[in-house]
Order: sequence, then structure tokens, then C-alpha cells
Amino acid sequence: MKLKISTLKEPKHTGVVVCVNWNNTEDVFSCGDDHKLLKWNLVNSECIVVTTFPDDFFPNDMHLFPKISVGGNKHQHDVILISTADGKFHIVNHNGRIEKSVNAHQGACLIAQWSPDGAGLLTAGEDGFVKVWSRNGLLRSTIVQSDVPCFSAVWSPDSSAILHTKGNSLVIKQLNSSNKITKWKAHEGLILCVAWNANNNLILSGSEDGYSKIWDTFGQQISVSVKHDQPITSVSWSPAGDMFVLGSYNLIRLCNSNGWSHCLDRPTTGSIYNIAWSSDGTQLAAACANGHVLFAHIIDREYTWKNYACNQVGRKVIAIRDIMTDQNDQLDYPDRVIQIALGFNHLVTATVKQCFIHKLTSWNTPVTFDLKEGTISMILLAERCLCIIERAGLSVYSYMGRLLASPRWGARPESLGRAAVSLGPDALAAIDQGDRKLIHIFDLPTGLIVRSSADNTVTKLSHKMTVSSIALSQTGPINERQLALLDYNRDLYVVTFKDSKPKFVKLGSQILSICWSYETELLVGLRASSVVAWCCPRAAMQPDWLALTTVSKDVVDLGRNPTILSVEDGVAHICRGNGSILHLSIAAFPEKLLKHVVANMWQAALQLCRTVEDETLWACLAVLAWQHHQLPVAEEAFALIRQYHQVCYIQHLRSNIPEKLTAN
Amino acid sequence: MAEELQKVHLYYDDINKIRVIENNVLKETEDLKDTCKDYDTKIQDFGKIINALLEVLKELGDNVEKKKMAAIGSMNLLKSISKEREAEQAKLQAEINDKSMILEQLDSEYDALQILEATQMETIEYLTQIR
Repeated sequence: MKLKISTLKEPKHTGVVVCVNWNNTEDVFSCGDDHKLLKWNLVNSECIVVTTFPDDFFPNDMHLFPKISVGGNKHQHDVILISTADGKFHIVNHNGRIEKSVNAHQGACLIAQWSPDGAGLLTAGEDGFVKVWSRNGLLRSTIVQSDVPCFSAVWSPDSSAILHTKGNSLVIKQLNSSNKITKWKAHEGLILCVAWNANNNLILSGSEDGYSKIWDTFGQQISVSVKHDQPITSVSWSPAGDMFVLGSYNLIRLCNSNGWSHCLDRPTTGSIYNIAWSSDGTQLAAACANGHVLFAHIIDREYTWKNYACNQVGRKVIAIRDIMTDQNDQLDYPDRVIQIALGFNHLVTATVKQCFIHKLTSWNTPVTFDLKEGTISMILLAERCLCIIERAGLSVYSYMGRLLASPRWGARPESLGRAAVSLGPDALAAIDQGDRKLIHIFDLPTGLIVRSSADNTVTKLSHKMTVSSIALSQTGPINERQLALLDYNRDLYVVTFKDSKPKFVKLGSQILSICWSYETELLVGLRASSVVAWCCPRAAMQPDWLALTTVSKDVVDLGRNPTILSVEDGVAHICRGNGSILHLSIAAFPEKLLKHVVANMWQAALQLCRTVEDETLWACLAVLAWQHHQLPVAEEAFALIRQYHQVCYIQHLRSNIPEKLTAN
Repeated sequence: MAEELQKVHLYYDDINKIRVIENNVLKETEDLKDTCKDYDTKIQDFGKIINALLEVLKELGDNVEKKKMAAIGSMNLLKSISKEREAEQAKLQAEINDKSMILEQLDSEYDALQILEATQMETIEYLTQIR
């Protein structure tokens, strides 16, 4: 992953650019010490002067009103909040007219920010005060009073708390309970910038000591960057929370959310005072001390699936390669590519205006359809359908480009994380954003029957704990569709949600990440130093069976926060904490066995077990045969794993029940 | 007659012109005048020489100043070059660090793939042996 940086030859600002902010995915506002408010359009690379403020107007911070989809009059949404060096904040409309100026602080007003829900705003100043104001600029409360200047402050994603800096400490102050504060020493030097991501709920801080650090909301350090020579002047999370960017003197660095660096660039821009991501997470704008506004977009995103690899080589170009046949191709798109997904024999790309579905066997003739809005945040693929998540909502399409369903449950789709939503071949599951113990599961229409979206059956599951991650199994009939979920305690549960009384069955604890195989019901989980494969998650009804059908492999140096990317033919692809990919063969034979079972090839399955002579494999076969009522097979298998009571039971059944019942 | 004239302080000179002052005084006066003239020209010459000297010195000073500035300039340039080098070095070092990190990632990925290959070869061998 790389940044492709572009600037105009001549700076448009005559002094330092202090702040930038995105209006939509194509428009950027920038404001600098030359008192000008500029608006940049990236499509036709235009730059117009919106207005020139009076000579005593020195901006410090700028924030556009958040794009929230709640109703209300649109006119009020097009406002910009600007704080200035004389201690005031100004509410400016998009034409540059100052609608309101409020005296907020003694000394400079350093930070001004709308709350994420748009109900209020906060300001922080050199006088050490942090204040919360109503949307119209009336003082609600003074949150913090201190004797050191507050250089940075942000809202928590749910607008219920405020994070602010105090010297070299970070402080989280809850708004509803007056005295609950979390404070910790974060850096050796003065903290200059902070950011808080809504998706992963992590805090990012940058300091004069040249480090940037990632924290969770309890003040525990998640990771720390390498030391930079110059102070970190700006940090910014990408909206999806999977990466962040930091700016320093003549330096801009793109990092993964685990802290390792994707790429480093050294443009000669002077200090980068402010960086902002576009809402689709593919472009960023930076305010530079030499008067330039720097634009960058992310290229070189690589995706692989089986023998296919694709790479975004330019803004509008994707290179695709079939490794087996060594076939290369470049796919050109009319607009900028925002999201790419590769899998299940399809390449799906979303540009600003359209979505392209390429079949991997004939990738030159894509199916296209138009998108509602150009801010796609995620594309999920499954065997029979794909799900597109944009700000306007979720929509599920077939690979022919037909809209199958558009599930609604009162969510804010733009802040949905990848762990909070999962797509199966005929179901879509999502964690409720308000009550994170609740999971909504939508049945999707399959086949040719078209139903209106209102017909979709919704199953609601309620877990006893906050759910952090969910995954739907990818194969089998819908009646046996299983949902694996990780809760806040890192316990793994599996539930067959079509049962009349869905029961959460615990598979294990201390699991960091989970993934189902593409083709079978093999579930692989990651512990701190081992990889575990549950070959028959349904066997969990009987704990001894579960233990018999579980394969575990110790792996050293997984690093911090590893994730499973995919499971394919019994090989798990794991992204380690340092960003390298680990390919681990964990359950090659069990997966083969599962495939035979799915295809109902019991003789082949038996043969495989007899050849390999592995206890786990026999156990898997025993359990699966038992569940599929293949009694003769089950009998042999149970005998080989020395479960003699089960053998006796089966023999009893076979002698008492007519053969034809048990044969199918 | 001359004596009478002398009484009223009038004198004859050598060419019998009537004079107000005594002959020898006159001579001395003229001598003085000549000497003064002489002195005057000498002074003027001296002034000229001094001026020329000053000019030469000034020129020299200018030259020295110029050379000094040039020396300072080149010294600064040298310093800045060394600083630039340092910056360049730091930049390259950072790039090396980045690349080595990527190399490390790829290395460990390669190792993992080799292990995977070995496992698969083992499996294949095992299966062929059974047959």
C-alpha cells in the first residue's frame, strides 16, 4: 500500500495552511494564515477562493458539520466551524459568510469541533479551558479548567465523552457523570494532536517527542511508532480504522492500525499541520506550512484469492493476474476506484458512481450497476451474493447485478466495522450499533424468487455479553447456517440461528480472531500463541466430541493483535502483528473430509480416513456421520476412536430400526 | 640722497627702483616666498600620494571584504552541504529501515510458505508411500 502524492506547482495560499477538511469525496476546504478560505475540487482540479476574511482573522482549526443522515433542514448542515487566534469561534456557511462569532477563550481558541451527532460543539483554548457549546453557539458547560494550554481535544465517537490533552498526559472526561475521568501520562513531550476512531474505538496521539502512540479507551498502550526526528504535528485515522496517517516536518507516513508502517514519504512541504481523510478512506488532504495543500490517494492495494491476484496500480486502473495461466490484464475504469473485493470467483470494484462485477473467468465483460451515493465503505462477498455498504445503507446484490435486498435496522452504515457485519450465501448478520449484545440476521432471497425487501425474515439474537465480532458460515443449507461470535471477554460461541431455540454453545476462550473456511464448515480461531481449528463446530453439544475434533497448532511470534484473513483447503492465512502473512496448514485432511461429506461421498470419506489413519480425522468422520445419520460409517469411526459406548448404542439402533430409515 | 630716503624708510634696489623695504629684507622675503611655494607644491604632492595610498588601501580593504564574504559564504555552503548530507543520510536511513521492515515481513512470509511447502511435500510423500 502506498500513497500517491500530488500538489499544485504553485501554492495557492500565500502563508501557512493551517487546516483542511473534506466536504464530500471530491471537495476540500482549506484555510490558512493568509485569511483565505479556499475550496478545491479534485475532479477538475480547480481551486476557488470562497472568501477572504478580515486581516485579524487567523484560523487555528476548522471543522465541517458532520454528514449525518438525520432529517432536519439541509441549510443548517452546510456550516463550517472555525476557531481563531483571538479566542473566538466562528460559524461560517459554505459561501464564506460568517454567520456567528462567539468569544470563547482568553488567548487563542486552538480547537473547535462539532460533536459526531451534530448536537453541539467543543472548543479548547490556550487558557486551558475546554468548553461545550450548543449548536447555536450558546455555552452549555465548561468541562475542563486547567492552567496549561489544551492543544488538542476530540469527541468520543458516541459524543458521550471528551478526550483532551494536558501537557504530556491524555485525559478522557465523561460528560454525563461529572467526576469520572481517565487520565494517563502518554508521552515524554507535549502532546500536539489526538484522534479517536469510531470503528475500532482506539485513540491515536502524536507528540513533540517524535512518537505517535495508539491507546485503547482505558489508557493501555496498543502500539508505539518508530521515533521521528521532528515533532508529530498531525495524526488522523482513516474512517474504517484500519490505518492511520501521521504528519511531521517534511514527512508523511501511512501506518496500519497495528502500528507498523505501510509507507513513508518525504515531500518538501514543511510541517504538515493538519491531515484529513475523505469519507471513503481512499484519499487524504494535508495542510502544509509552505502554503501548499497536498493531496494523496492510496494505491498499490493488493488482493489475492486462490490463483488470482489483483493490484490497484493507479487511481482508475487495476492490474489483474491469473498466476496459473500467467494471464495479465489491466482494467481501466471511468472514475476513481474506491473499494475492491476479490473472492468467490468474482472481482467486485466500486468507483465513485458505479459498481463493476467481473467474473474471474471472463473479466473483460463486467456487469455494472449504478450506486446511490459515492461513498462506499465496504464490499462483502459470499458465494451467491455481495453486499455493498454505503452511507445511504446496505444493499445486497446478486452477481448478476440484481438488487436482492436492502436490510435496515436503524444503523449508521458508515460507522459499521468489518467485524460487526458478516455475509453468508443466504443471510446477512450484523451487530446492533446501539445495543451491542443484539445481533440482527436477515434472510436473503435466493434463487429466482424476487421478494420485496419487506419480506425478509429477521432473526434477532441476544447474547449475554457485548459482541465484538461475528462470522457466518459459508456453506450448507440455511437451516444449518451457523453464526460464530466473539464477545467482549474473547470467548467464542457458535449458534445455529435457525433452530427454534437458538443456543449459544461455547467453543473456547481467549480467541483473538475467527474465520470460516470458504468451502466447508471449518472454523479456525487464533489464540495468542496457537491456531485452533474446529472441524465440526456443531459437535460442541458434546464436550468430549468437541475436544476430539479440534486441531491446535502452536505458533510462535504471532505478534500483537493478529488476524485471520482467510481459510482455504485447510490452510489458514494469518496476518501477524508485524504485517507479514503466515500461511499455516492446520486442517488439510479434515477440510478434505468435510468436502466429501458436503458432497455426500461417504465412501470417499471413509477411504480418506483409512488412508491417513489420523485420530482427529476419524473423530470428525464419526461425529459427521452420526449427525448425518450414516450409522455404518459412524460405527466404524467410533470404534476406531475407542468410543465403545457409542458403538454399542449404534449397534443397538441398527438392530432395532429398519435399515432403510438409517440409510438416508 | 639714498640716506635721506633711508630716513623715510625708502630704499633703492639693485636696478634703482624705489622700494619701501630694505633690500636684504626683500631678498629674505622673496626667499621665504619661494620656500613657501616649494613647500606648498611638496604638500600638494604629499596629499596626492596620500590620496593614492588611501585609494589603494581602500581597494585592498574592499578586496579583503569581498574575499572574506566569499570565504564565509563558501564556509556556510560547506556547512549546509554537510547538513544536507546528514538530512539525506537520515532520509536514506529511514528508507532503509522501512525497506528492511518490509524485507523482514516478506522473509517471514517466505519462511512460512517454505514450511507450508515442506508440510505439503511430506503429505504427498506419505500418501504415495501408502499407495
